[in-house]
Amino acid sequence: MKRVAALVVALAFVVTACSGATQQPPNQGTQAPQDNPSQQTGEPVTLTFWHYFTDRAPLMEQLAAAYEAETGVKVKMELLQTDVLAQKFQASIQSGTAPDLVAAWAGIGDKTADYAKEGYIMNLQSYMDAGWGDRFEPAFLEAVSFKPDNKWGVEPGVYMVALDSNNMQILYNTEAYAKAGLQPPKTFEEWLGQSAALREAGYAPFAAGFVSWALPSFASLYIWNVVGPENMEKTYNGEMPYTAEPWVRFLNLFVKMREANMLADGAITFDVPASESLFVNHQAAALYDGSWAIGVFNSMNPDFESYDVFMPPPSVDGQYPVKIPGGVGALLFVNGKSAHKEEAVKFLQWLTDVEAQATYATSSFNLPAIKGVADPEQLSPVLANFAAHMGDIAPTLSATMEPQVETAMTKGIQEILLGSKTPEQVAQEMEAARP
Amino acid sequence: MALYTRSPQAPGATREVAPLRRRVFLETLGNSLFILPALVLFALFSLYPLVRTVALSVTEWNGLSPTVKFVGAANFVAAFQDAVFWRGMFNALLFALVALTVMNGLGLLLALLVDNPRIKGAGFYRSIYYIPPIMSPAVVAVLWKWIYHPYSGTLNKLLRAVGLDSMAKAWLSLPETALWAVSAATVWQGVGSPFLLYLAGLQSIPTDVREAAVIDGANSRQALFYVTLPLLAPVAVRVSILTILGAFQLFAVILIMTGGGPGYATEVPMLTIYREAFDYQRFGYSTALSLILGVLLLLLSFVQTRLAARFGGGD
Repeated sequence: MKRVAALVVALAFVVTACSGATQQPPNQGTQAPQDNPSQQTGEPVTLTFWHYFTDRAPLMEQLAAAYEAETGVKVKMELLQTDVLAQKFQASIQSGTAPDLVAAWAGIGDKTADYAKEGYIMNLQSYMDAGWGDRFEPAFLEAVSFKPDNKWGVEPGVYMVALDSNNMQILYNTEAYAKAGLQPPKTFEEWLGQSAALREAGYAPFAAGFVSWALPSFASLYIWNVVGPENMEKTYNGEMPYTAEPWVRFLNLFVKMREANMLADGAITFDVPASESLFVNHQAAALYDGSWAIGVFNSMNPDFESYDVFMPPPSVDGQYPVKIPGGVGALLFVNGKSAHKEEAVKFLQWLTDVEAQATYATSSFNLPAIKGVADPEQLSPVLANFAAHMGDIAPTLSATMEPQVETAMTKGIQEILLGSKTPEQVAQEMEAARP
Repeated sequence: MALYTRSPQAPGATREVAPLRRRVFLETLGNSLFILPALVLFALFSLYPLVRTVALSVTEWNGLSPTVKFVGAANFVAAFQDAVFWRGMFNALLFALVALTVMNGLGLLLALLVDNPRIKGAGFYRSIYYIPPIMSPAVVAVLWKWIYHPYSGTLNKLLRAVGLDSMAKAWLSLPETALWAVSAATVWQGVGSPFLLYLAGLQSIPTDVREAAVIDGANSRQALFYVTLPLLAPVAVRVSILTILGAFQLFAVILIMTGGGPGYATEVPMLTIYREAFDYQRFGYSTALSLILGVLLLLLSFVQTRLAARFGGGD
């Protein structure tokens, strides 16, 4: 009995050890189109589309239904949380269940380069050259392209498509500011100085989802302003350390933020929805968010209308203009290993056509991605103010901050805001985190 | 029939042994067939992942590329120098200490109360105390985030209502309170498990042992400390091992409540492992970290079992 059991266990080891443990990664499970029975037999195609557009989920279903009515191709929309989208896509590749279309969790850079290199984010350049690209502003196409000689070794080209355009600025509660007798600030330091008056008026001065992506996004405003584009590129390309003076000066802004008691209590571990909730419920006077937030506010509190937007004010310690994240908004890509990639491309082309974009923009309160759709007269005043600063959007650099460094920066800024670390210490940690 | 062979030359000896051996073989084969499905499942879901983990841990792989680069012990060398990982291990140790004392202590107390024949409705209490452990960690995390919300959370509202405004704070955002706040949530969720195990242990203690103690003049306190608790020692060892394993594998609750922050105040090893694999796409390094964690937990369990056996708690 013991011998038989031992034999079975040994057999199990042999089988598992011989199953290509070192050279062959798990089945990535996509078929070539010619292997797909549905394509061969003409059966209806169903595309699976993963997205995180919580506030626009019904609109996406509406657009999918319209596309199916027109073409017979069904698009199955699946709503996921932004924070886990990348991880789920990664896992789905390994299990052979990857979707056909995905709303990208990040733009062109470290977080998507590997996928593009392996073909999971499809190169759309040939389709763009065939005329699709004419719909977009050149800057929008540049923002979704891997450039020639990029550091990741990805074949140059357009890899994603913008569904909308947006930018991120500071939304403020006009009632709160009026009550505190304040106007939108002209400098970062003036903004910090408004904290006391806003607290006196019963508001937390500023909320932002600093537990996750909103913190490095906010930080980027002042990296552009204080560090500047030339030093940024040098640092990201390894020619300048994060311990250099401009970076320490940038990190020092968060010391000023802490000393001014500017951040809402608990905001360091708030996600973006929690911060938005504070803002729409008149508990926070200002919020760092994107133009898509208008649609979010509409769904959270339709009666909330007393807000406007101002550009993040530059610091007196910075000599470069503040550049805001934005331009292309929600980005979509086609799974290049999908059996239905051609149908997926066709759906994206339909989604970025004039009619679909007009429907999308007016229903979702987002700015459209293509030319010739946005009519400034038809935009709400707040959306018009967002749109007015599309020229202040940060341009794409040839390199980006590595994810490990970004994590060190995020954690480090949290600790600066808590007073437990100095800018110099965080700068050293960022430098040490370089892969 | 003779069970033992006689001299090999003895006529009939082979004829007597052969049917016996055949019967034993058939019996063994039958038994093996019964356990084969379990062995296959074990091989598929435990052995295979283990072998893959060990194989990946000596490689550099981004989870996507068809090629995998062998790097030898480099991942392990880097892991032993990874300050974030060891900070997470220290935090996990703190979680384990809170769980061992507060959670298990509370579990034991509840079990003693429910086991008391004077308490009615034992079945009801058994059910409600076991609801939190079967709740999704995500639900528990969101629930406790509401409780700890600095502006509209139940805890701060309660403190302000009783005039303790100065104690109302951003519980999850301060390094001095974040870890303990998350601990409270995990204790709340986890107390049902030791409670159930202790209750089962109490109910397995023969009643005549307790009666004998009473007859010998022991009061209830003496019976508890000198009879009941010593007999519960094997259960306590098992509960402790499970508690430590659970504490070191905390993940979802922390990811949702604090993301490991503020800073690294609530960082735990599973979060680091997850981030290395899925944020940085360093699968080789991530599996090396998970192997180190696994080996350390194995050693801890082994030491605990040996100590318990030495001091009379093992079985």
